[in-house]
Amino acid sequence: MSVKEKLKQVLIEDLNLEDVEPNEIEDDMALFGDGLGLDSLDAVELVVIVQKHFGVEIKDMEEGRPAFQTISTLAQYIEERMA
Amino acid sequence: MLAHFYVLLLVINAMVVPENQIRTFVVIPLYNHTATLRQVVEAVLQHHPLVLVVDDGSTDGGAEAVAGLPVELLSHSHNLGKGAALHSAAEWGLRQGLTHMISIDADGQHDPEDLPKFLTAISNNQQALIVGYRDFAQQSIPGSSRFGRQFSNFWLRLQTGSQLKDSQSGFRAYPLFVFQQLNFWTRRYNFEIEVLVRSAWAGVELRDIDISVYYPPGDERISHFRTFMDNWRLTLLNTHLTLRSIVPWPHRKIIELQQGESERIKTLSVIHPLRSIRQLLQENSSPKQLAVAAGVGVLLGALPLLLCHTIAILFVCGFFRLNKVAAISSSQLCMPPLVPALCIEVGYFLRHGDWLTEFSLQTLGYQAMQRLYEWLLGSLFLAPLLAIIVAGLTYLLATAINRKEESSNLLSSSAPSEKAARQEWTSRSIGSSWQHQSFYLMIRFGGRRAAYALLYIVVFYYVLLPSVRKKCHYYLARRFPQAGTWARFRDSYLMTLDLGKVLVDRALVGILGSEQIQVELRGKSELLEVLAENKGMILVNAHVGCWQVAMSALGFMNTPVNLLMQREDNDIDRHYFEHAGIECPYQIIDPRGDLGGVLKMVEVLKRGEVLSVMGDRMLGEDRNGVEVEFMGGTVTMPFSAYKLASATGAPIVVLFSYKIGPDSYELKLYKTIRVPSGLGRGNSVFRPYVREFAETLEVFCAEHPFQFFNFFDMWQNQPPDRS
Repeated sequence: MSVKEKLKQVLIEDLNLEDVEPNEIEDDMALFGDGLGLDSLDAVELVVIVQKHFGVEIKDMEEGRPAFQTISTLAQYIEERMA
Repeated sequence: MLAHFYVLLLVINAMVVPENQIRTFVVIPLYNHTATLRQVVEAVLQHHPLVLVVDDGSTDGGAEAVAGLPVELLSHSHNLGKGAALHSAAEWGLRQGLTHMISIDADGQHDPEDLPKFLTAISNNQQALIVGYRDFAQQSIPGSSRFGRQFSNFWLRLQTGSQLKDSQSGFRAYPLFVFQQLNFWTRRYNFEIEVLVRSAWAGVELRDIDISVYYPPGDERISHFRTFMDNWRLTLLNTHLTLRSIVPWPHRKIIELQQGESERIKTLSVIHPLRSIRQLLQENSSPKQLAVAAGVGVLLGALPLLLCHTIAILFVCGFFRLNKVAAISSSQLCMPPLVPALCIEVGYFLRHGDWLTEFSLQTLGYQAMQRLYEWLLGSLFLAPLLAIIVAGLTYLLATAINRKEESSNLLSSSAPSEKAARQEWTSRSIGSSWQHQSFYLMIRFGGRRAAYALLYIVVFYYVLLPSVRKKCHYYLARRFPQAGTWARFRDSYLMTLDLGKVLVDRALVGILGSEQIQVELRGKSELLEVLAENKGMILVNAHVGCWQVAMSALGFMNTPVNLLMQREDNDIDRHYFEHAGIECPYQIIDPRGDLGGVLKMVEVLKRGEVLSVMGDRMLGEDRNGVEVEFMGGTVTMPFSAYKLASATGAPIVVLFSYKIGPDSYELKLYKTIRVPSGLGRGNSVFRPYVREFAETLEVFCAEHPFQFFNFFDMWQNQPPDRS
């Protein structure tokens, strides 16, 4: 399973996104606001999810912020750190 | 200016003519001037086709003299007065759909050749009342007339601030809306004065134009000005108009009739001097004018005018068109004993080269005349000095208020909600800029005692206002549901006073240094234990005590402290580090930043730092609230802190501060709340932990009832539980 697909799946599970299927989440959909509709506090959860499922700790938020744009940017960030 | 002009046009169009058209006529009021009438009428007809003669009960044949001439005629059965004749003419003109009337005397003293000048002047300014100015210098005019005119001009200026060169001239052009909109008391010669004064008060501009003058030699000229009765009437009128003019109640403005005049009057009231001054500032005074008025108030206030200050100030302000309210209020600064005593000291020093130090019956009683003289002498020196200082300060403050008004005018209001109620009151919005400034000055020069002394009085004044008591009521009704009217009043006073003291203390620490206040920390060991876990720490506090001062007790921690805090651009209130001019000792996280500053908060907690947030009130646009029970009602409190705690494992520490003495505070660790991880999404999962905090706050309110500074309805109109 690619990082993108796993990411979609754990997002739905851990954030309890009801009525959303993994294939409904597009790679370049905005995570916050209009796209997936996460709110700012979900960012906290997102930090936890990334650490729990991928073992990547987001420490410096200057780096983390650009990663929190879309599934693609977040997956890319994780892939770079996992290696 | 332009806006005014349009309003004027609208009003006039609606009232008189469908289009922006000027329709004039000439009126000749007639009372026993048959000899000259025909000649005058014929000359007028050369320049204007529409002429109305109003025969005011002439007994010498009256209007018969104009038989055969194309003029309109009105007549009174008996003599009612020149003012009455002008009224009749104006009514007639309005019925005919006319807009302006030019009055010319029947005795031949005015030259109808000047009529075109009036027509031009009217078309230049349709809203002005135009008065012909007779240049007496060219003619041999009796001295009494000259004096009379100067005298009358003086009163006009005193009463209205408007200046005319010839307020007694009867050759005038009246816009007819003046007669339609204003009420006049007088119907005789004195009407010509009254109409000028009331028009000027109503915002109508008074204008001069030069006209030629012809005064027939004494025996030829017939005047019906009856010296005694008309002078008596003039005196009565002048007295009334002058008294009215010194009352700082606004005059009804004709030109703003459709612009919510009534609302404007409502906002001026004696119990709201500040709002009134702010209103005056918007209305007709620039900061500069207000500053001059305040300076004049102090200048006159400092002089030993003995009981005549107010009258003198009102007259001077009327004469120079200054803001009376500003001048009178600033003159209050010179109230005994301070300024007179200073003046006497300065005067004494000027005379004797020494200060007056002996205060006895001898020096203050028997030598009273000496002291009075020194008072005068000293005031001549001090009054201008104080006036300049006060004018300068007023200018600065008025400019600041103006700027604030402008910026707040830009903000649009939204539907009333809990959020609106919350924003209506913050610790930063109580009092206006200049009040904060005066407390800062007090602290600088008098220390805490002086500032507190001022506070006891100012707070009492505040609590007299129903609006302030209402703000205290939301919380007090739940804390002391059984309290009667007086107890509630006392509690409101204590609560507002405690808030004031906290604000003073905060400024005190900034201005005079942190050694001014002692802060004791209770629960230090527990706090150290929590810190030793090295998971970071979330301090949750509330709007209680003086948290900013109390935070200094946390200096021992050696751990960076981050504050979640929203700063408004136009905050009046300053934080203590701003007073001290030092850099903010804390890292500020703005909730309006990216993702509400959430990532930043996670970051600092992961570094093991301290994050401090307010737990009792939703901040700004935060929508992450959960309803919990608090003091017998339901309130919405933010749960972000608990979510952060859950995600990062950081413990939550509830720290409240409270004032325990004039110069001492305590900071107490009330509770440690631990939120387990993996609680999930949604707000309800955090409710038990938020409720723990609310419970803790209830305990605090029981211990320190007047130090929970809640001045808005956080319960959203749920009836307080009276059981």
